[in-house]
Amino acid sequence: MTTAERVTRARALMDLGRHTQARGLLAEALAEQPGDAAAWSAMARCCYRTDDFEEALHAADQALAHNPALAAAWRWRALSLAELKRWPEAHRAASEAIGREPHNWSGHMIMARGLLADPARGGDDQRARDAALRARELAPHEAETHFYAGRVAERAGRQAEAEACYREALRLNPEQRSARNQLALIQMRRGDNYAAAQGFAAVAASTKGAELGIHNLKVVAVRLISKARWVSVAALVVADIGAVAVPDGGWAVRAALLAVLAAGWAVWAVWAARQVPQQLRGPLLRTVRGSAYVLLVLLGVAAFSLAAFVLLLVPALARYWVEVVFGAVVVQLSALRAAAVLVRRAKQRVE
Amino acid sequence: MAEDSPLIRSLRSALEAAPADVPLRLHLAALLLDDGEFEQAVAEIAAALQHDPGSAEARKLMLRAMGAPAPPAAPPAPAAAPPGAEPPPEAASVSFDWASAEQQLSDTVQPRFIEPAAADGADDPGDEPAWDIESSQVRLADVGGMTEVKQRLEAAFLAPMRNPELRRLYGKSLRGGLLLYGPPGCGKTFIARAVAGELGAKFLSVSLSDILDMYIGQSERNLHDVFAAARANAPCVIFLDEIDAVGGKRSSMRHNAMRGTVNQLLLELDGAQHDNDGVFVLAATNSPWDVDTALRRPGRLDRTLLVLPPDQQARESVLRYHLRDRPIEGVDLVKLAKKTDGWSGADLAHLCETAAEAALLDSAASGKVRMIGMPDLLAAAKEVRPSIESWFTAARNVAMFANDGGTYDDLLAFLKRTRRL
Repeated sequence: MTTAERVTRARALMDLGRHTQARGLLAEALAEQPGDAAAWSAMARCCYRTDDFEEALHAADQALAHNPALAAAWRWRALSLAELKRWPEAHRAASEAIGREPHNWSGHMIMARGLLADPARGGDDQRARDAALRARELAPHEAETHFYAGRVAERAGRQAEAEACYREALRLNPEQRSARNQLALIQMRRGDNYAAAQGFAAVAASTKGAELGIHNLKVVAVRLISKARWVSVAALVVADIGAVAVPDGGWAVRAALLAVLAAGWAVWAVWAARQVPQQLRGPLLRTVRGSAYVLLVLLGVAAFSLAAFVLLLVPALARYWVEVVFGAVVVQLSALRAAAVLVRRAKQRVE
Repeated sequence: MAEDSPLIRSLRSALEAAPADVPLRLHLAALLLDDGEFEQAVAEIAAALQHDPGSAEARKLMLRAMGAPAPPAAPPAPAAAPPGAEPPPEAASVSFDWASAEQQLSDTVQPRFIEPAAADGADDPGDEPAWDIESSQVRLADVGGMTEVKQRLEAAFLAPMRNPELRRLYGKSLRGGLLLYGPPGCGKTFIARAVAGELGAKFLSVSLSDILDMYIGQSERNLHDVFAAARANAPCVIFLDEIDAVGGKRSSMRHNAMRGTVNQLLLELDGAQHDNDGVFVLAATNSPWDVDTALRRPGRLDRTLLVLPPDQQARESVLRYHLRDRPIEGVDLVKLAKKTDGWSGADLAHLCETAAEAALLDSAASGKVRMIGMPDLLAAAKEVRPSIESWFTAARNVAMFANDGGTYDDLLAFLKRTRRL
């Protein structure tokens, strides 16, 4: 097999996700022809796809050392530098790629992607928008171009336009994990938890998106739990009135009030269950069961209800209702503060 | 101990005069090995390694001395003895097909191409198949342990296939496919071979490297040739290894020409232009979620079977196989198999390798040969990490969040049973 044939075969293997085999073939090709820029560029792609960004950068640099005009190598260099968070170099490499092949959509898309991800250029929406729209103009049949057009629109607050872009990306490629995740986020923000849960579950089921999908499913769970805060506050108000109105005994009244509190939570439980597709209820429960921050939010939200139940079940505490309420407030604030810290950490890990 | 030959005696004398002469000592060791004097040979090699620890030749000889006590000229035992033949001593006590198991666990697939038969247009493809078609002698009984898998295989696939009257009564055609999935290194290929044996069918194993061709259209043609060869040799089991590559989701394939291969595979499975009766398609994959959904529709690969890591009995069999030619003493296979719960066959092979390596290095360092014992194996069990946990992590998410139509119910039940969920 010639070097060119090895590279072609390696590319086919990479398309099939067989990166280990492809890397072996490319290593053989490069051992034969160490100056083959196309083989180095393919190697950069292979390393990038296996998250070996340092090696991808090295391979791209080798390709460019042998052929500085190779636009593909500039693109892999730009992508690798972006993953290594070396933003200014990444933007320069993307510019080089565009300069060499101005009609290649992927150069513009990589530019848009880098600009959107660069924290130092958070406000540079116009340049990112230009790059994303140019990429889409050049390749309207590529799902990724619609995804980045959507990201730009989302950043500019045009949610409807962003949603349309993500839907188009998913129409072109139903496996586009990023578009599915962003679409689910938009759905969640507008209160469509049912669709959002479906979208996040699909992301969680993908090979590389599991952590992101599961994190966002937990966020859905937190949103559902937080809706119970009104039930909780109402429970405490009812319990306080009951404790003051019937301080000594009155078990029939207390039982009725307890029933009202339980009914309030039951209504919430039914509502929350209906917000999640039936086939996802079990998996979602299993997912949140081991999540510290979801349980802390639940504790925070339920603190008032717990105080209410205590007041109604222990008549001796009725006279201390102010202290019980104060305790509930302390528990709620502590739990929610701790949950916020954990959420922040989890989010950093996912990002 | 047999009496030394004059050559060996003279070499020994020479070494007494020059004990640091490593090449001479290795030459003596090689002669001793040829004579079957393994212990003496190992002692000489160990002495040579003390003088030159980096000697590749010495290490090679040591491996030969410790790994191959049987005479090298002995022919390998056949996969299955013909009826009435006297079984070999080992086969009499253990019915497991070690040769096939080794082939399966080492994940080697023989290349199936011979020569492009019709390259010059002169050959008649009907005369000579272009693919290696075997007559599988392996039976499910040869698969050590894995009772649950065998039971499900029997119920889901083999029983309907083996009962032609019932099949005719219920209008079931002699065609169809089964998708085997599970963690890597757990015996999917071996089971496929056993299914072919159970059906009394020929066996045609095809992997990605057999199909994939860089020239546009050639991969499709290769695939067509596979099915043509199977039809010509019906009843025949086609085993498509790594089906997620040959039949991956077309929506995920952006630029490659493999979409055409998936279309061709669908065409061949449907048998629109050809009669597929007597052609059974078995496919294996580690990631069924990457297989094109069209391939899973009724009439294609519509039945799935989860092939789990080997159970206790199967692990004992696999360990026994990998230790069979090694110098061992006091090995408690039951205890070792219990320690390796959840390991794949490939992991168990690695465990035995690691233990043998430790004993070999120890022997070389001390100059005294010692056997592989339980401490070596237990230490190796601590050192070697089972390789299939990452598979279960990925599979868990798919089973939880993408179990449409109960495709992964078996997997979910297993995950719950093993507290992975």
